[in-house]
Amino acid sequence: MARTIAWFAGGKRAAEWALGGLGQATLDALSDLGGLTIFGFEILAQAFRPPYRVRNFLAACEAIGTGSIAVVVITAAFTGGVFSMQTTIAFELFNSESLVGAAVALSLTRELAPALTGLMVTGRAGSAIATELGSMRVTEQIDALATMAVNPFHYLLVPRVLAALVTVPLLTMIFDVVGLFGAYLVAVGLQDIGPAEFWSRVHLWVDLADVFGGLIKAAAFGLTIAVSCCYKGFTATGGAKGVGIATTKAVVTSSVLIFVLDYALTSLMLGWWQDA
Amino acid sequence: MAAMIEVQDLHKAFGDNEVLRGVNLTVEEGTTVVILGSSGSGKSVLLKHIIGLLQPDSGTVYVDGVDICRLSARELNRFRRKFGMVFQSSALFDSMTVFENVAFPLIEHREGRTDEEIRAIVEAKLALVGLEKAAQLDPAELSGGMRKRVALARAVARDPKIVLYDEPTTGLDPITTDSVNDMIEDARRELGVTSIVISHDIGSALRIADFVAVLYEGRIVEHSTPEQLRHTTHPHVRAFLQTWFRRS
Repeated sequence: MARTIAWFAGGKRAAEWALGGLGQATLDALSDLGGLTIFGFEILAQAFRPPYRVRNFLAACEAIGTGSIAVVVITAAFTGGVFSMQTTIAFELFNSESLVGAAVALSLTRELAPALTGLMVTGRAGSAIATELGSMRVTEQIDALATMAVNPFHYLLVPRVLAALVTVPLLTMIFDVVGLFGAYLVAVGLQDIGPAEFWSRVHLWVDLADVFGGLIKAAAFGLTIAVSCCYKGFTATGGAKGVGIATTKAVVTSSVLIFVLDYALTSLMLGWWQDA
Repeated sequence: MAAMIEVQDLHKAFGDNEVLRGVNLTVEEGTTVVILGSSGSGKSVLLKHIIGLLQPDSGTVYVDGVDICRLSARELNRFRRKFGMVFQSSALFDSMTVFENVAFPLIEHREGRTDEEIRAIVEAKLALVGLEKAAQLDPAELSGGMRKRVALARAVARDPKIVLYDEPTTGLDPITTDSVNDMIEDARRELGVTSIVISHDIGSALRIADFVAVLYEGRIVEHSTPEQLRHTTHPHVRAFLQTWFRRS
């Protein structure tokens, strides 16, 4: 009897511990999301105030956009090639190999290009943003800006967020083109699908709405990546270790938000795509 | 002399940790006040209130007759024109050269200055701290003392009325400490600025201060000239001073 009571008491404590931990984690995540949202609105509010820092914006475009072209091109070429290979094998079962071009193009423009570009930019440029801002925070460079009557949001964050908003859709367009070309090379060169067959199906099934939908997603991902990485870097504390933690959190938060946002935007756009 | 800075009954807590518990401090125009206190006593927190980087839970901070706690973010930004600040870590922008660091506040707030005028001001400020030959170096190439000097040149670039120093001699060897103290005295003498220095370096405090304020348990428990400080009756301040006298 005593052992049964002890067993129940132990089980109750474990359940309380598990539920307490889960509740605390949920509260922390919601608090973080709230902070991130307010932070994002503050940046956007500052974006419309002069002076307009064109030089900082162009430098951020170079760091986020130009610097990410190589990794996006490589990812796109291999993603298109692999996707072409897999869909050809699957479509052969239904004698529908001619649809490979259309299937790859639709997948790329609507989903793969914006999502994978977002993830690549997060890993390459987002982590760099969080590290740079985190280092500036712990070495008091951000406080120094404020003491010189320079708004750190305006000087550091607005150019980065606007640059990501512009460059991630541009990188996604590169991903679309290179990915489709990679798929074409594999389909035509290795899988014996005719070039005309490939392109005619792409032309028939892919609409401008598919491309624009993907680019809208890419802009949303760019905004999300920049705001969350800026937020984590800007609020870093505790020296080099704190900067490392902030960078890890920035990459994880951005990556997770890309997938959540992708689902939400796809749900919203599906009707538009079907009507187009 | 008129009061340049007046801190009245300032309270600030971070969670359960009550850091400032009613700080009162007056700094007269053109003087140097050193705020002494042991590590974690709230000196930097007090300094950040004086420049408006932190908002108090209660109390007021008057700077040049204006309650800065009641200013909007934009007004406060404009008001910071009166301040220059030298950070403990120097806080130089590591993506810029020494010249660009000193020129930064002037370029951000041009106030009608031409590029040539800005260049002349930067060269003059670097000459003031004896670093005119280091203009094209990166901050990473400088020693700790040189970084502090560049930080001061940047802080005084726009001729502020008040210069705040956060632990300017911490972590420096005795010779560099002396040269930083010279630099603080030169800045005051040549520019006529009001200076507040946060430190736990008693030797430096006794040398450069017109007045020394000792922060203990969230309050200013001593506010006197360096000579008066040597004869203090406050037990904590006596103990604090004795550790320094024993070492020196």
